[in-house]
Amino acid sequence: MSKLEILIRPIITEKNTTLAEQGKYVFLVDKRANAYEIKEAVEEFFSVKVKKVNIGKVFGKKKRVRYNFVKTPTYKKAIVTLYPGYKIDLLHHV
Amino acid sequence: MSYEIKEKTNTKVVFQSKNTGEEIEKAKKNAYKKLAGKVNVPGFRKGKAPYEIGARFVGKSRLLEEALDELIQKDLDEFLAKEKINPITRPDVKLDKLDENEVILTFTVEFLPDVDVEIPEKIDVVLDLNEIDKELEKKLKDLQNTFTEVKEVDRAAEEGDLVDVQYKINEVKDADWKDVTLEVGKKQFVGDFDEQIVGKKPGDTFEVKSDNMTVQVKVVAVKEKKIPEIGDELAKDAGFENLEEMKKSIREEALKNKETQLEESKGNEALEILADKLDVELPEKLVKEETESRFKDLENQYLKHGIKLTDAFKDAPDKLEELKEGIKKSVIKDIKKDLIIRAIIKKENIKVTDDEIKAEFDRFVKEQNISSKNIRLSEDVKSIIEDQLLRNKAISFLKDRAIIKKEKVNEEKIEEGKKQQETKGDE
Repeated sequence: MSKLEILIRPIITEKNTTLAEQGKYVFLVDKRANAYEIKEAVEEFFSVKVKKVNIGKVFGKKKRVRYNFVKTPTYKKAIVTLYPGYKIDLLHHV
Repeated sequence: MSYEIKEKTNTKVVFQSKNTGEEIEKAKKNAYKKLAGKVNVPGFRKGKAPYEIGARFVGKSRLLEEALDELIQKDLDEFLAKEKINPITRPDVKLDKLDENEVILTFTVEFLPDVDVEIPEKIDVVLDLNEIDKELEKKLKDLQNTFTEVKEVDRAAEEGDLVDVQYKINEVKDADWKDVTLEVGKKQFVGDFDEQIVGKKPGDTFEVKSDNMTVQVKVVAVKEKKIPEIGDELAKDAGFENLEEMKKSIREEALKNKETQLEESKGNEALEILADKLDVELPEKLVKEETESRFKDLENQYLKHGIKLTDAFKDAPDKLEELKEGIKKSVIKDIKKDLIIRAIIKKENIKVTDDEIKAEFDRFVKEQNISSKNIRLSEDVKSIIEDQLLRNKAISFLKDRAIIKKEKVNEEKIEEGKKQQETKGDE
């Protein structure tokens, strides 16, 4: 897993846009990545200083398709908190 | 927005407005606010996505279109506020250039001209004595009719006589004889009845043929109409001393009626006179639109009776044009009247108080028997009532100045006046 593979895409939702106002940005990341690797990747790509990285696994949900059940994919997400004064422009970077 | 006035007349102004990229972006944001509720953005509730994200889901062209509406409204509002113009019709807008960085629009605004009407201290409202004479003639004829005697005579029927006849239609089975009274020579019956009846005596029978039936007619009685001559005799029957007395009395009564009538309406009459005198340029579009809408109303009225106006005038298209021309003239007159009333309100500083509006509203509600739950004094209603009251006050102002003048209007004079007006209109 190279550094380029770690950050897959930002997760843009209503909740996450409000988080961005507090300097917290949410990414979909490779499920093998750890907090330290994510920190390094974000600092390198966006040239910002990262204060804290919280990571979590979002487990897939069981969904019914007619008579069968399928599972939506499980993924890992990371909430990256920046030092005050730093900003990531998600809309134009991606 | 920057604008440039291209053309300006008394009733029309044409201007071109230019909007830069920044203003367009702002308009887009406002436009997005309107559209946001309709687009679905994943991860957001409806209408909650910020502009930067949501705009992609709306689509570029749609957003620009909506922004253009916004810009048109904004430009127009700004311009009208700056130039202090009150448009009378919906302004025409032409799009000259539209892209992300520049929007150029051309507007054509029509407004009512400010007229400065000199309201004379006295306005002569003419009471035409010729009309009184006509009234008199009509009254005398009516009297003649009421005092006409009908007398049964034993002779052949003549033109102008009343005949009692019985008739039976041959084609109808087991038909009964039916009684009817007819006047000879007035074409009140089918076929050539009027020709045949002349010379028939009571008891005679004959047959009348029409397109699809034959009718048997039996003469029962012939009655002579005795029309009294206009003279002292008739006057005495009507309860007067002699003819002169009667004529005088009828004339006085007619004059009195006319006067009271005119007294009521002299404000409007004076307004009419002023409107005739007013020479002012009117917005073309307003006249055209109003004429068309009135013509449509007329068409709809005829349609209610099952007549298509265009079909009715198929053979005579000139007449249709004439009708339209007539409507146009009345529209022009109405607009002029409106202008005068506005001028009076402005000049004399006529105002309406809130109490008056309230009182008028209460009166209206009571008169129309509307329950107060269904209607309330909203701003719209208020402004309508205020308009009406101002109008009434202006008319009563004119009423005070109007003076009834009795004179015999020469018919030649009227004709001449009309001709003069027409030539003026043509110019």
